[in-house]
Amino acid sequence: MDKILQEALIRQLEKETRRNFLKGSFMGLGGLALSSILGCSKDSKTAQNIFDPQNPLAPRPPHFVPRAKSVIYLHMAGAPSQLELFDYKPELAKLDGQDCPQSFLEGKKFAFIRGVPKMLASQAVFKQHGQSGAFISNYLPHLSTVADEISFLKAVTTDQFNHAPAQLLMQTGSARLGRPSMGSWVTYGLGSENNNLPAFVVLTSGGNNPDAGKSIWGSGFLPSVYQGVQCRSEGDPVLFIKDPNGITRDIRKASIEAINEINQAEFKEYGDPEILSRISQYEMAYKMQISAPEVMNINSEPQYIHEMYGTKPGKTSFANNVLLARKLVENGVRFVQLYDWGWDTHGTDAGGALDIGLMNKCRSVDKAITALILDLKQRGLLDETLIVWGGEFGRTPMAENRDGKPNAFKGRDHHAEAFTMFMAGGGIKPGVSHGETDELGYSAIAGKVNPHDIQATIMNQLGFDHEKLTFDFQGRSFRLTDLEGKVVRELVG
Amino acid sequence: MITEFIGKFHPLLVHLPIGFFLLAFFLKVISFWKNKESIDAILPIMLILSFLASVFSSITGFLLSQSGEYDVEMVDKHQWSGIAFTALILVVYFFRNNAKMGIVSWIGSTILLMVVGHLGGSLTHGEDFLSIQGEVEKARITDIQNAKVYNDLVQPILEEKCYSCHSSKKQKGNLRLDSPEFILKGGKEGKSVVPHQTEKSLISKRIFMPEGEEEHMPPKGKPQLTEAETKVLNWWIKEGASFDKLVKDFNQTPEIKAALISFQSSGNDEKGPKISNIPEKEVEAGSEQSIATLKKSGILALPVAANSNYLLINLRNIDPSDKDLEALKSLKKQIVWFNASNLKNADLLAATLGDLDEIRVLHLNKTNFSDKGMAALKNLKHLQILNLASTAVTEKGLENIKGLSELQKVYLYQSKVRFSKLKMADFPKIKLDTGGYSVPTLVTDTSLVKPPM
Repeated sequence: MDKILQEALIRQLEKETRRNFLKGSFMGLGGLALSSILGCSKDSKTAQNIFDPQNPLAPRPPHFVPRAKSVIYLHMAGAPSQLELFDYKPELAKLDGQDCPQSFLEGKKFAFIRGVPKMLASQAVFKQHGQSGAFISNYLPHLSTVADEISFLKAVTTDQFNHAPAQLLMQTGSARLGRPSMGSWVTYGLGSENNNLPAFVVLTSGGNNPDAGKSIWGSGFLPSVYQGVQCRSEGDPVLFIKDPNGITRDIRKASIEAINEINQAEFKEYGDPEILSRISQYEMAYKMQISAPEVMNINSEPQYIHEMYGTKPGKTSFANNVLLARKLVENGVRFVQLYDWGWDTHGTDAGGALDIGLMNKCRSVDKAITALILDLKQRGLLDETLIVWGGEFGRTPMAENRDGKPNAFKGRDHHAEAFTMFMAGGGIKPGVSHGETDELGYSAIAGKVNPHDIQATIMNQLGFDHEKLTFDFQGRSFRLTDLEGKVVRELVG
Repeated sequence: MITEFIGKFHPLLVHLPIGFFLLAFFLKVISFWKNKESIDAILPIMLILSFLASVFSSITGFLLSQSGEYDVEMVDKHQWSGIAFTALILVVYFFRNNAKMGIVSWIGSTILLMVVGHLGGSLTHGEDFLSIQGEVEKARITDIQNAKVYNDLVQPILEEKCYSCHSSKKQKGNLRLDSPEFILKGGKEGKSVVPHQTEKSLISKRIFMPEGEEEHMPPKGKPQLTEAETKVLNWWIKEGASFDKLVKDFNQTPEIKAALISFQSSGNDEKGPKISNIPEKEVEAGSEQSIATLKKSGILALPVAANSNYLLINLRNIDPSDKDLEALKSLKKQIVWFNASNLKNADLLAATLGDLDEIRVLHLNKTNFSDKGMAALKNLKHLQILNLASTAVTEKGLENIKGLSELQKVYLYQSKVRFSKLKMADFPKIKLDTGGYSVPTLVTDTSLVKPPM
């Protein structure tokens, strides 16, 4: 009798095939995944930092008292040359035109340099500025006047020497695709103080999107409601923002309500948090129709402001984007990310020449950045707005010799070992210069800082312990700075 | 040497008598309440075990002390108290059931055990190991060029990273580094410092070895020298290992200069105004009902940080109702940052603001706030930053905030303040930012550099 029962049991178990298991556990596993997304550690102390799917953009306090409330990140895509702008190296001028020493080349990889390149003196004229005595070149005559407002990181290093991975590393903390961007992490952590505008706005200029594409403002595995919203700086800020002819505001409202009701029903059935993202984005879009055209329009700014920034309404330009960034921050946007394309000065053509193209790029940003610092200051907003400026890597002290042959114009190759970034406002100690490179500007010898350190510092100013702002995904707690990152204390005091 | 090797088991063995004896002691205490018989039966065995373990510990301890790596005086104390403890165990053994002598010997030996243990701990971990105080903050160097190389740079590095094994406490490899004489004398393996000759100086050799090497110093697992510290130590030896010269008397390569900078505290210690300023004392949580009232009206009332009950208020362009104003007043202890920018009728807010005297940062910019309202701000004794940009406030209104002792910055851009009538001397501690900055337009701003034809 026992034997028969046992056999029956075995037969029954044999029927539990893999397909059977998957079928049966569809809801079960889904539920598990959902509960980990929705419910994790309701009782833990960090509960208010775990996102609330009912209202993912609800404002939340950071871990500790913040120094900055918003960030304007000016990314010069293509990587500007630190040797022409901030890193003054008189020794390099003495070696101009000589062969690069072997010690610089052994075991190193460059994007384009082959064989033995020649050293290349800086094309710029350097002077010290302000009480801090910061070296700023004649490429940036306006920025030189506000030298005491900003602080430099002179020994930033990275481990990527191609644009896309280096940009990803700088903005998402990983050189590979798939991680949420810094702005997404910030929005995930803080929510939005503003109901009518996105919390994370992206503006691009320079004629191209950055090489790493839209992933550098993507939300990765965070709910997509936290991704950067790219706005146009010409014409309507967002396409189709106006109601089409014949559709009144009431009809628009009724239709969005209807869509959201259907989506709510859908969410009840499937529990996919992306549906909630969709609902809140519909609501935001409806509100943005009113507020965005007003905030995102620089036409209404007075003439003296246009003169200050060097803006020309109606055109796409970095300056216009900078002015927009100020308006957005003024209206409670947390993270404004500007990408300006065209800083990749290899010297293969005039546009990429250190003494032509780079000079022109500098002219297109110098006035606007300076105006931004001063304008935020007079509006009482610089104290709580952190400005970050930089590229994704630096440029070599050697002239580029593509395929072993000198280039037609003066240019420098990609260089991961040392470059300069600067920060201002947002509780950053003004007038500090942290870090130093060797006498030829080849490698960082003191005060080295890597992209994760910069991210940790930005998060610190916003009130976050970068090690504690995490998101559980695929069984692991992820964070912006991966397993690294040290706050640059020298800058934050 | 085999005896030295056996000695190395001392740090392991010492824990046995401690464990055995303490267990016996606790069982003895328990036996006053229950299980007296069974405990009395087991105690002799435990005490004999304690005694034997103690004897072996003493023997290995004596062998270890022969290595000469430890401070003689401290070893002496530890050694004799340890032997005394071993003897005391026998006393306890024989008197364990005697009422008077028993209790005295039990308690006495337990106290002695603590003393021996502490002395041993001080030998391995350093005398200051058992202290509540954390690390004492180092005095920062403000002018690196006028600092003394040995006293201000080298000695602190040695103290932090080397003294634990090479000083009065311990003399591993017979080496001490805690005075110039000892440093020049060197240790068992040779000279630690040969002035000007880094290749002959053991310090230089060992700090530059890869960390995995057995001879690398500091040893694996101990706090390592930083890059700058390594460079400075080596540089000091190379430049002659002087004990009294100043930094500026030495030759400095750019590399060393950069390393030296990291020892200097940044001269710019002036702290910018902090928007982070909240009172030091924590406050009780604000009324949830009031927060809910504000939230319902669309007004943001949020803790400034997850670990704080202090609140920031952002009116988000919403004119507060009477109910909201009541709610704000009831949160007066908690509200430290207040943002009313873009508000249509800011003067109505004035009476309420006057009550919220914990406010540190107040944004009234882009409102119709006027001199009428300014009178109320007199009470905000903790106010640090006041943003009056684009308001109707005039120089008369500013009279009200003259006496605010904590006020650091006032923004007046596009207010109605006539700067010609404003006496900056009236506001000695306050930075009045009048704004109106401009960036001149240079010819180069609108022209392009053209490539040569």
